[in-house]
Amino acid sequence: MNTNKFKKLSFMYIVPAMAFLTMFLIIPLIYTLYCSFFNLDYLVKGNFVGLKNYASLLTDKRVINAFIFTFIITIISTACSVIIGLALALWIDRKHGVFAYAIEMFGLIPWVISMVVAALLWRWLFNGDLGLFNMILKGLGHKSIYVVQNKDSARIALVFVLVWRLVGYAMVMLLAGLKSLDQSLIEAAKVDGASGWQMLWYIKLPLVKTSVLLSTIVLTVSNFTNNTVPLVLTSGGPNDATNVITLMQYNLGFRYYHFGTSSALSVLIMIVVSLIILAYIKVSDYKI
Amino acid sequence: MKKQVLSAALASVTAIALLAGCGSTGSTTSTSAAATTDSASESKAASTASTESGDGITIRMWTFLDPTNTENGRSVALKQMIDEFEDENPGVKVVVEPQDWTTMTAKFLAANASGDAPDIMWCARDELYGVLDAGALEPLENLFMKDWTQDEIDDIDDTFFRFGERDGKHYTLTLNKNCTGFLYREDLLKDAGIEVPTTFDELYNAGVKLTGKDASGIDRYGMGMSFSTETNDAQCIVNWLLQENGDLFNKDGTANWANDGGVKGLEWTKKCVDAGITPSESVNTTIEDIYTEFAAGKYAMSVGSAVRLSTLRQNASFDGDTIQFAPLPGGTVIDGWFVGVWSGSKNKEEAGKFLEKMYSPESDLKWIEIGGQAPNRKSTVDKIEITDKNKYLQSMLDAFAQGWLPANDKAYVGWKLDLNYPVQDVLTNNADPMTALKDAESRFNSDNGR
Amino acid sequence: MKKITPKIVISKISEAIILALLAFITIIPIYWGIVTSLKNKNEIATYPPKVIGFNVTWSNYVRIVGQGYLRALGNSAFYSLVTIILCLILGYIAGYGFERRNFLFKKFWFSLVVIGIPLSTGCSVLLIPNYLMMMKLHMTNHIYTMPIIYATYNLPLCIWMMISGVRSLPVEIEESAKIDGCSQRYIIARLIPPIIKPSFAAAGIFIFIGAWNEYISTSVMINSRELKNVQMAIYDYMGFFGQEWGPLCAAATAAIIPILVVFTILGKQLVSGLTAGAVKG
Repeated sequence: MNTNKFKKLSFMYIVPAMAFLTMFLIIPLIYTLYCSFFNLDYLVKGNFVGLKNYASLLTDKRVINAFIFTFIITIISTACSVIIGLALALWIDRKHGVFAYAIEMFGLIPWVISMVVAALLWRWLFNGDLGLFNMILKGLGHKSIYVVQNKDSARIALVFVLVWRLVGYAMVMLLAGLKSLDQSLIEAAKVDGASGWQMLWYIKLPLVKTSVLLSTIVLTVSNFTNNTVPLVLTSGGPNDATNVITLMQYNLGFRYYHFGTSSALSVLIMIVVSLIILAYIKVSDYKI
Repeated sequence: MKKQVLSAALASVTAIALLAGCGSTGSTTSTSAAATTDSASESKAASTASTESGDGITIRMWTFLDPTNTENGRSVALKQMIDEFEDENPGVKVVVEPQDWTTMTAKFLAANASGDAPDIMWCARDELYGVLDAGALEPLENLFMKDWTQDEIDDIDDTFFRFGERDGKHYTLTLNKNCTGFLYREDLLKDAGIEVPTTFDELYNAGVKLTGKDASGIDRYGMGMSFSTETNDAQCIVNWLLQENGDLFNKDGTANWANDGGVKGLEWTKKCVDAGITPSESVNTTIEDIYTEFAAGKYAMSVGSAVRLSTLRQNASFDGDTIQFAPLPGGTVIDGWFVGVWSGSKNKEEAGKFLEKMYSPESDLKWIEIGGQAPNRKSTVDKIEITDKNKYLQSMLDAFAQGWLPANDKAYVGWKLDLNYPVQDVLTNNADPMTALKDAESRFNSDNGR
Repeated sequence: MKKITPKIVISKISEAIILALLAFITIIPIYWGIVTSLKNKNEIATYPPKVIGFNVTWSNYVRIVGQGYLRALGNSAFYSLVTIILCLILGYIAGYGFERRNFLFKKFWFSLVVIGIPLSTGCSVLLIPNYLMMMKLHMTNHIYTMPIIYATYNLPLCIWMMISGVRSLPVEIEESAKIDGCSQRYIIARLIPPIIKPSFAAAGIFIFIGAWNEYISTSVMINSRELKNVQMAIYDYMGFFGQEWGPLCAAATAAIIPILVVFTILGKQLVSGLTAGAVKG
């Protein structure tokens, strides 16, 4: 009897949040799904086209390439950010006072500065003749490198800026995880004579697993759906070499006004990202 | 057990609520032009209090100009027009809601669909077709233009005005008229003893002469071009196509690029890059980079738009007054912002009046003198004096007279950007020009639903 | 007293090098932005670039203030604050429910939260549907519009962060509190929050930056100049007539400062490691 009453009450805990999400997230999402079955050029409702929008997207080589490219740079830049962020977090965890504060600030600034301005500044720094990067290279007696002109260097630059942007975030989130560890566990391990590496591998990492999982998810989503940096830094070029899928989705809507197809692509992007998150959850064996 | 049933019921209620919500929002889209006006009047009635305080009327306008910006001449000019208009029409207030120009038109379409759009809207050229298709604008003949004499109409009747025409009615007046050509530094051309180039050969030769190190040992390129696919100004290949074929599109609206003109354009462009008069990194520079670099003194000439001249003169790290503008060979792509009155507005008359105000002969002089723009009316041309400093106005006027715009019978979106793909392809992959152009054609055709 | 061994010296030096490198890479674009914001028009684009030795001018800052920058800053602060409060309350309660309670379709509800994450991080996926819906509800362009949108975007992750926050707390603490006669309300409102402060701080920082740096949906939902946020004020200088580098960099630089202040306040929770004592006690 008592437990039953409890169950009903238990549900009430999540009602406010779920009502909020349903109203402003889930309903628009269902609406997007609905739109994706129509010809919606210029937001004028046309015919019901069924799965035609999806078919035309999935048979387009550009879409597939953009998906693959986005997937690859997301994985690479996320992995780099998380690993560097974790290393930094473990390092700062042992520090105190002004020093720790300074490192955190350094790491955090790239994340908090307006993304578009940061990307513009990087683009300018990489500029062939007016940029600092090449000024330094010239000062060292090296020839200028035109960073965003070349396919490979443009891709590397893109990954670099994505990593640069989010390392600080990973660091802070992981640090929060490390700080909330039960110190008695660590002290007990020390008493048992665990070496630094053993401590890290067997004690600390398993305990911050959820923090790692959460930051990995945030970073993955953030990198996957980031169209500002590619747009500003490399404009998706040269030759579509850095064309990410959300840039495509944005252009479908805001340049070509194919809102039906754009909605379909939104749904596809959402499915892919959700699958990636689910994969993370499975791999990390997270239980709810 | 009972409670479980209850929870299940709750869940299904939520599910139904979801579906119902979907249905009600779904109806939002069912907007043909006719339905829009219906829902518009409905919601307008509901929100009367907010837009109409007391007996005053508020006209809302969406544009990218911010009247509080005192550094931009166009904003200053607009601010003066608003002040004057409010003095002349007591009880009417004009409120500018500055918008992001890249998403402004999409937002307008969405606002139109849900019945609460601004009274006056500035539309980009590529998007005007869709806006008219959605029935979002009111014919000017229903507003102030019904009182106009034929002479008055003739005064503003030009390529731009006809672009905003559908089924014999006119929907827009064009502000911020613009054209693409090339910017050059008169001092450098004089020093090298070069006349302003008028053919592509002359342009190339001038570029070769102007490339090199200047007195202080700084590298300078003869010809700046930008082939990023985010560059919104037509590059030389467009002019080559216009020169050879007269148009970029076939009668049925498909792209007509994979031909001799296109190949010649690509080869000429590649020649410029190979000769080093255009930096090889141009393959992925945007037009904004070019303007910044031009102001820094990196180029002697570069492809660009006439409207950017005044800002460039202010920003230049050298004597800005030596920057001039000339049309490219082959033809000139013209552009502008097409301003109309929202069909769902309940203050159409007043909104029309303000649109008329922005296009009046007096305002026209303001746009020119304060905003550094070209004349909108034929009658204004006689009132301005062309000097050495503003001779770019003459070039612009010539361009407007014979300039080229795509037809407005279909959507022509993204062609300027699409035509940069073959350039990138040839420059980075050494692709075959004809194949690259064919790819670009099919890209354009599929994106525009041909 | 530790003996100074070569190993320690090497590790100290390598630490210093890493720190210097990190600082350099991080700072370089920021430094360039600050320098640009202090230059006048004619010195911004020069060839070769002027890293030092230019005339310092504050005119760009004067100009952005003249164009309503402070108002935008205030708006952003208000939006962010409301968003943080809303998200933390909703997220914490839901997080507690997910972690400590059982109810029907728990997995289903959790998967809704998971699906919410990709929709949330400021991408343009839901832009138009959200806009149409808010228009229908006459909820665009109000003071409460942006807090609602930001809260929606940040809530899914906030819930998850709070779940892991509550999870890090041993159940025994709650149980012993109950034995001591504490009410459920007391446990949720008074007992747990101080203990899991770092989780609140981490979620708070995340929400704050998400709200502070949001541009695209704000630019669509807000029309009035009076309601624009700081990102819109930054984008004002990237108009149709090109970037105005000076004011653009000034606006972007000035927008970082409040974030650093907030971080300094909330960050203490992360750095000083207050938690350990609380858990043990």
